Amino acid sequence: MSGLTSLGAAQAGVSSGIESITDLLVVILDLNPIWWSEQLDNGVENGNGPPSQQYGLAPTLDQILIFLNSYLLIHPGNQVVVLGCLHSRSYFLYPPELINMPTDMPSDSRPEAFRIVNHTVQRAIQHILLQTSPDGEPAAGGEEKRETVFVGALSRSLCYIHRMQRESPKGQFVQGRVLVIEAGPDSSSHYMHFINTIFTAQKMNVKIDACVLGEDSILLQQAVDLTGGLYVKVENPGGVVQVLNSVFILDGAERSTMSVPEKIQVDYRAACFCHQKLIEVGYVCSVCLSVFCAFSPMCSTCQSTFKFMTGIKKRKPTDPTSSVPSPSSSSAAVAAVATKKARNGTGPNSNGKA
Amino acid sequence: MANMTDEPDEQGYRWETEYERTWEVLQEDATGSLTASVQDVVLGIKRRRLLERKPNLRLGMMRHLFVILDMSDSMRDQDLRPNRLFCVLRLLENFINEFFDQNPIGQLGVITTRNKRADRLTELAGNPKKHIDALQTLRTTDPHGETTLQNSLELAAQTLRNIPSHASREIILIFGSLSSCDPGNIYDTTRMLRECNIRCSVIGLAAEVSICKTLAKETVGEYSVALDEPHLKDILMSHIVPPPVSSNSDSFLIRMGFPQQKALDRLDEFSFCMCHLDQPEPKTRYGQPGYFCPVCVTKYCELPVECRVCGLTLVSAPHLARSYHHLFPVEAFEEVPKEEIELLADKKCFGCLTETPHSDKSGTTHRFRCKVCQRTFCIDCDLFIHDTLHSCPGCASSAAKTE
Repeated sequence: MSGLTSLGAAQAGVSSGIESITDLLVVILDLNPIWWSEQLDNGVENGNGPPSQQYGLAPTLDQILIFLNSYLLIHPGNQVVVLGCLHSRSYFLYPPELINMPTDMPSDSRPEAFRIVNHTVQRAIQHILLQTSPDGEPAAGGEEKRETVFVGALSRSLCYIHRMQRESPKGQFVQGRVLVIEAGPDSSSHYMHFINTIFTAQKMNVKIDACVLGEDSILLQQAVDLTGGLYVKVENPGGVVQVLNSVFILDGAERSTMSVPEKIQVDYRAACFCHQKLIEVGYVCSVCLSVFCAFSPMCSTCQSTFKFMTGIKKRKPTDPTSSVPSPSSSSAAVAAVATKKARNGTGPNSNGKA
Repeated sequence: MANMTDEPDEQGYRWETEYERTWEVLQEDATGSLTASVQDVVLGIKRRRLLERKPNLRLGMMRHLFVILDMSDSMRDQDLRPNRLFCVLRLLENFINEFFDQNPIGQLGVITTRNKRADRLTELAGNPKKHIDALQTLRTTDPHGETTLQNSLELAAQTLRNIPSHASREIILIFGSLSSCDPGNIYDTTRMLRECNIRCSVIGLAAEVSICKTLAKETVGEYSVALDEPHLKDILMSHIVPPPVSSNSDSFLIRMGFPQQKALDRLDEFSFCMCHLDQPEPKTRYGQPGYFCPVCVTKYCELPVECRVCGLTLVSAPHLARSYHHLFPVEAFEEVPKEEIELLADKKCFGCLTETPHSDKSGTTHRFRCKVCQRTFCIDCDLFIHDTLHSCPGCASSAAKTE
């Protein structure tokens, strides 16, 4: 499969001297203990309900491991990295960060590489969920919250991809991709970290894919849309492996040849800093870029006082040098906005769109 | 800003300062190779640049920048490969992409000067592709004649002085020649630029030219002379970060639109987009999803853009948020002292799991610690975090809210 990628890249990268491409898949796994235990409780409460409607960590993990194995199987050059994220922490699961590479591998008929990955990931998750982490924080419960913060894991995976690209031998290129498997709801903290990370991924040409088990995630939808990845919400707990294997197994050039889920429409409206409501037309402070829904004489974020725009409108016609107006120059545009504002008062959205 | 005005003169000339034995810093490693040692020096320089960055100045976020490109005879010189012009063009393309990546709401224009004339290559606009396409056409243009400093500065000022005062007005002059052919007194132009609050930075390709130095000094810009291609690239890249805003600029509230992307399902909703209207095949974009201006419902394919009908600046929330990292930069990491390196619980870099080698002869530990979350990083991750990522993975992973 990667043969296709390298072909396409070879055509594209003749000038840059790239001979082969290695695919590196980073999987970020949401280990939020509260969400997973809630799922378990729900299953126990409606004991007579169909058991297939709840996610269990162990069965889901098994499905994810099957996916990782298939990914490794598809091309000998493929590499995987697995990270786990909790509300306030993130860990590398493979290659392991907390535990040593396990040596006592149970021997079975599976290929060595699969066994190492599966065993290491399982061990690392056990370690995180059962034992106290080195920080002294309880690994489960206590300070954990229901929301998931995957930003830390995401930025760490970019660091890792960056390292792999740096260390790759000449003529080889490591093409990174991140797959976030999120269970719990979004957390709105760390939004700035999130945006910086997403734009970095975009710049590094790293696609971010999202596979959501719980409720829809607005953050991940934005990430996917900005980096050109895919977003899938899994409806059936037993069908995780099907979704992973049919949608997320291929990347790069091959994806265009497959039937993949349609792109989602993402809401890019800004929320104003004053009332946290989504707006279509707003006012932005020229110093700190805070967004407000109505005109105010002073910025509540950076304390700068604002002048009224009308001053420019008056000055402009008297300016002798502006005899050659440039239609696309923003001065004209801003003046137009000022005129409009002077006419309409502050009504931001009288027209609205259909 | 004070540091910019009074610094350069006190330094004196390079040949008057103490003799530097630059080669003594380099040391061979076990295999007799110098590569690692040289790399250390290079990374050290990069890190020093990070440390010099001053936090929390008022920055001119809405940048309006004219790049004036010298196209005179002197650009044929081959001291930069293949010649000065081609080298500069290649770096400029890079610069323009990076500029719009880091300053999504900024605007840029290009002016060329050759044969004693100044020509506007592109108007101030926000689309990187347009500028790069225009720069491509310069590859077939022959550099010719003399450059004119005054005409090109006046041309840039003509547009820039009409920009509202909340925006930062800047000129970057890439100057290859050692002389200029001007119609009048250049000092009048310099004074005018200063009065208009236009910041002029000059990048020299040949040698230091006094008038350029004066120009940069008067207008609180920076003057630098490129030694070689990597140095030229570094200088250009240093202009990516928004400059501190001049004290007497005003602040405004600017009206902006945040359009939503909308797919069109019904045939009567189909429309042309404004951005491809003047291109030969606007039909191909007919009926495609797009962003609709919330005031006049004009369709655009891409953001950020300025509505051609009502002049509203249309941006998306991530674009605004993209600029925030200039205002809240990641604080420079501190190097972990030699004594503490053994006590570290975590021997691996938090970002990429590299096990950093033990301290070498030079006494550096190659481990850097974030002052907020106390995680340690290797030097490559340190640079990556500060140059590209702009957020500390350690802080992003911890529960403490940083915003």
